[in-house]
Amino acid sequence: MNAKEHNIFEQFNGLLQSNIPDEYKDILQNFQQQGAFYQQLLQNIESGDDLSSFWELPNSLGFSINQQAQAEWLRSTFDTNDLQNPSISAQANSFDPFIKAFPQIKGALETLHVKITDMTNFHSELSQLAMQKFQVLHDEGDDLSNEQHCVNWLKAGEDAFAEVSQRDDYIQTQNELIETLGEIKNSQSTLIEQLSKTWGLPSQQSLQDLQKGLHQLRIEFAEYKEKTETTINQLKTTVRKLS
Amino acid sequence: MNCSNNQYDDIWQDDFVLLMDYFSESNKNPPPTVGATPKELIYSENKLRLFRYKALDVKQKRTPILITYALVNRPFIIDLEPKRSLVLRLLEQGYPVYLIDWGYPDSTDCFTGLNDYINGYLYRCVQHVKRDSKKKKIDLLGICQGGVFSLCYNALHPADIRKLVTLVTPVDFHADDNLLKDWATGISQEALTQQTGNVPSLLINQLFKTLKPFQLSRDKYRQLKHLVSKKENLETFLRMEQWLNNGPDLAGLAANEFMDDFYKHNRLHRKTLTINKKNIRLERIKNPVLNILATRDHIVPPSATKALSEHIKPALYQELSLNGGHIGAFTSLKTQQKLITELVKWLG
Repeated sequence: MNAKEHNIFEQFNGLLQSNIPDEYKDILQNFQQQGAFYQQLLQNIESGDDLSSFWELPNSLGFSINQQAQAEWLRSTFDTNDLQNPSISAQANSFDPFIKAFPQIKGALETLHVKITDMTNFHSELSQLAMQKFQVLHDEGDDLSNEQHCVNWLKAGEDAFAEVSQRDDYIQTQNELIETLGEIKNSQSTLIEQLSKTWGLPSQQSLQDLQKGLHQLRIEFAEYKEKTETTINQLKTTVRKLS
Repeated sequence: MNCSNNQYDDIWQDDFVLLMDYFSESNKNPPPTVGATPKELIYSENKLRLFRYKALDVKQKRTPILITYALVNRPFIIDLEPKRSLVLRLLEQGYPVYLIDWGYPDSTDCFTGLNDYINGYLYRCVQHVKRDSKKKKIDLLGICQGGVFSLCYNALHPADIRKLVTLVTPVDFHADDNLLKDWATGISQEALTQQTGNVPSLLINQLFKTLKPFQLSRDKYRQLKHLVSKKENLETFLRMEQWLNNGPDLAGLAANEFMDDFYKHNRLHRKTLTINKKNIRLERIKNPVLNILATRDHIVPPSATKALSEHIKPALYQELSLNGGHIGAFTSLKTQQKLITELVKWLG
C-alpha cells in the first residue's frame, strides 16, 4: 500500500467510525467494495487471468458478504464443499432432538442441500458462459479501454444471466428451493407452536386471531367513520338547499 | 479514455476522496430531502395517509387528480426532487393533486388483503378527495401496481371516475419477457398460501435486483466520476438510494393474493378476477383511459402494459409510449416534458 492509498484508507476508516449519517457510511462501503471489484477485474483482464469469478451471482447480490458473522452451523449448511466434514456433522447433531421430533425437517434440509448444490452448479455455468461471451466481445472489439472492458463485463454478465435464468431447469430448481425453504419455515412454526404450548405461551394461532380481530376492528371502524361522514355531508347539503 | 490500470486506480481514488470529503462535511451536506413539495394531510387511517398538495399561484383546473402508487417502495419517487417531480409539473399546470401514502405495514397488518386496499383504503380516499374538492368525479392516476388497483377500482366504481391514467401498469402478467412471471408461475399454491406474516422489504429489494443482477448490484457504483463532478448529480443519487433502501414490507395477505391472482393465474387479463366475490371486468370501464408505457421497462414489459387495449373500447382508449425504464419514464428529465405535455392535452 503506498502513501496515498494509506491516507485514503485512514480517511475511509475514520469516516466509518465518525458520526456521519449511517446512509453515508453504507454508500461509502458500497463504493469502496465495488471500486475494489472493478480494480481487480481490470487487473485480471490485463494479466490474462481467469475472469469467471467476476460473474459469481451470489457474490454480486451480496450473499457472500460478512460470512464471518454467520453462525458456523448455518454456513456449513450452505457450504457444499464441507458435506463430509466430521466437525460439521457433529454440530449438525445438535439438531438431532428436533429432527427426531420432526422427521420432515430432516427431509427438507436434505432437499435444501440438494437444491443449493444444483443452484451453485447453475451459477458456475452462468459464470463460464459470461466469460465466453466476454471473450467474444473482447476479441471482436476495437476499443480496449477500461471503460469498454467494464461495459463488456456488464453485457456478458446480463446476457448470460438472461440465458440461464429463463431455462426451465433453472426456474424449476429455483422454485423447488423456495418451496423447500417454505417447508422448513412451516416446520419451524409447528415446532414453535409445540414449544409455546409446553411453556404456556400464547400460541401462534392465538396471536393470529388477535391480529385478525384487530384488523377487522380497524376496517369496521373506518367503514363506520366513512358512512358517518357521508351522512353528515348529505345532511349539510340538504340544510344548505333548504336555507 | 484508454489508460493503464494504475491511472484508473488514481482516477478512481481521487474521485473516492472527493466523495469522502463531501460526506465528511455532513453538517454542510446533510442527506437531501425527498418528497419536499408542500402538502397537507387531509385523511389518515391506520398507516395510510392521504395528502393534498398545496396549489401554486396559477389558474386551477376543475377536476382533481388522485395519484395511487404501488405498495412496493415509497411514493415520494413521483416527487423525488423539484426538477424531476411529476407532482410539481402537474401543480404548475394547475391540477389539484392528491397522493395516497400507503405507509409502512407492521405485523398487525398481515391480514390486509387486496379487497381492503381497493374497496377499503382506496375507496375511502376517493370519497375524501370528492368531498374535499366538492366534485362528484375525480381523475385517477395509477402507477405500476397502483395502476392495477386503479383499474380494479374503476371497474368496480365507475361512477367515481372521470378519467383514468395508468402509468407503467401491467395488465397481462403472462406477456413475454416477464421474468417475474416465469419465476412465479411454478411456485405451488401451498408455498404461497402457507406463508403468514408480511413480506420483508429486503426480500422485495433483492428480488428486483435479481432481475438485472450485475447492473443493479455493481454497475451503478461505477459512475463515481459523474456523481462527484456536480453536487446535484450526487444529490439525485442519494435521493434514489433513500428511495431504494427505505421500502415498506408488504402486507402478507395482499402480497400472497397479488402473486396468486396476477402473476400466477393472470386473472385480470383472463377476466376471471374476483375481489370480495365481485367480478372485475375492465370492459365495465366507460370513461376515457390513457395508458402510458415505458419502452425499456424490464419490470413491466411494454407488452404487459399494452394488453389493456384489449379490454377498453377503442374510442375511450389512448396509448402513450415513453422512451425510458420503469422509473425513468416519469423521473427522467428527457421524458418528463413529453409526459406532462401529453397528460395536459389529454386530461384537459
